[in-house]
Amino acid sequence: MEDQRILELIKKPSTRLEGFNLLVETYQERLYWHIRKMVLNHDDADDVLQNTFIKVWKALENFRGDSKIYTWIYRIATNESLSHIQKSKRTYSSDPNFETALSTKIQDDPYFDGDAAQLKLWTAIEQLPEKQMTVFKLKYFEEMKYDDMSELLGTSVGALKASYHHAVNKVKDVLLKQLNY
Amino acid sequence: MSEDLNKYKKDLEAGLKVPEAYFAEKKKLLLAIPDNEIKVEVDKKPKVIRLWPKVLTWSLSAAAVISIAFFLLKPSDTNVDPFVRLEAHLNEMDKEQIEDYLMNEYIYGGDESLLLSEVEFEDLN
Repeated sequence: MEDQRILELIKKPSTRLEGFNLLVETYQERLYWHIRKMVLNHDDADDVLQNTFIKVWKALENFRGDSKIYTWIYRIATNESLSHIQKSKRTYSSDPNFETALSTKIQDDPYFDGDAAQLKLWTAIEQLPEKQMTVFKLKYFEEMKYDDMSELLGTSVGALKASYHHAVNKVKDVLLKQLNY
Repeated sequence: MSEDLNKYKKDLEAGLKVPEAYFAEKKKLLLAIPDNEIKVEVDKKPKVIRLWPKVLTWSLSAAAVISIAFFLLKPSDTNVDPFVRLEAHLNEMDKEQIEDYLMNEYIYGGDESLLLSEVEFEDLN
């Protein structure tokens, strides 16, 4: 219902601003949590959210409505998050003590309120190779279908399934150690 | 195993917090994006400089240079020494014209010595 209204508003230049405002009100929070789980740190999520909506505003006049509004902005947000992850991974992966550096980064976020077990799990997820981490997060948290993920990431469904399988096994190892199996 | 992991999903998500009133504050910033972007677009617009006065100046200058060049580089007689050209021109003049000129000079302000010198000059030719 809201999507239909947004679409009608953004089609006309005279009501496009109103359409954008409705878009922000409707999807801001949902989009934030999607980005937050992708990039983990609150400040990073805040920046990515801002950049996402800037891109949405700039591209709004060219949006033809071929896909659903949320699918479209979700794709922009995901791409922005992936760009951010690539940049930050480059910085952190050069650290000889990658795991500790990641753990410290997560703990340093004042808006991370997880216990020791959660910290370990998050660290394990963040430690995954970039592709595996992306696939894991999109599947595990977002429950995205492989077909949609394939289109989004430009990777075959088979390769995505393999990545998810490897990622789950690595996170599982951490979980088993945590549970003292 | 995925089922085991799913048990932890809610916990993992629950550990992520946001500052108080974050979404309300953020909404204000996000709603301001169009204003800021429009402002940036306006600032980015190139300053319009009227070109016609410059074009006019340059056109007039170019026309003057072309005119001067045309007269200076005119092909006829350009290889001839200017003094030779003057002498040839004088030779072409009718003797009566010269005499009339000299007489006028004598009557209207010229003196006799000048007339005599001119006549001598004419005689020399």
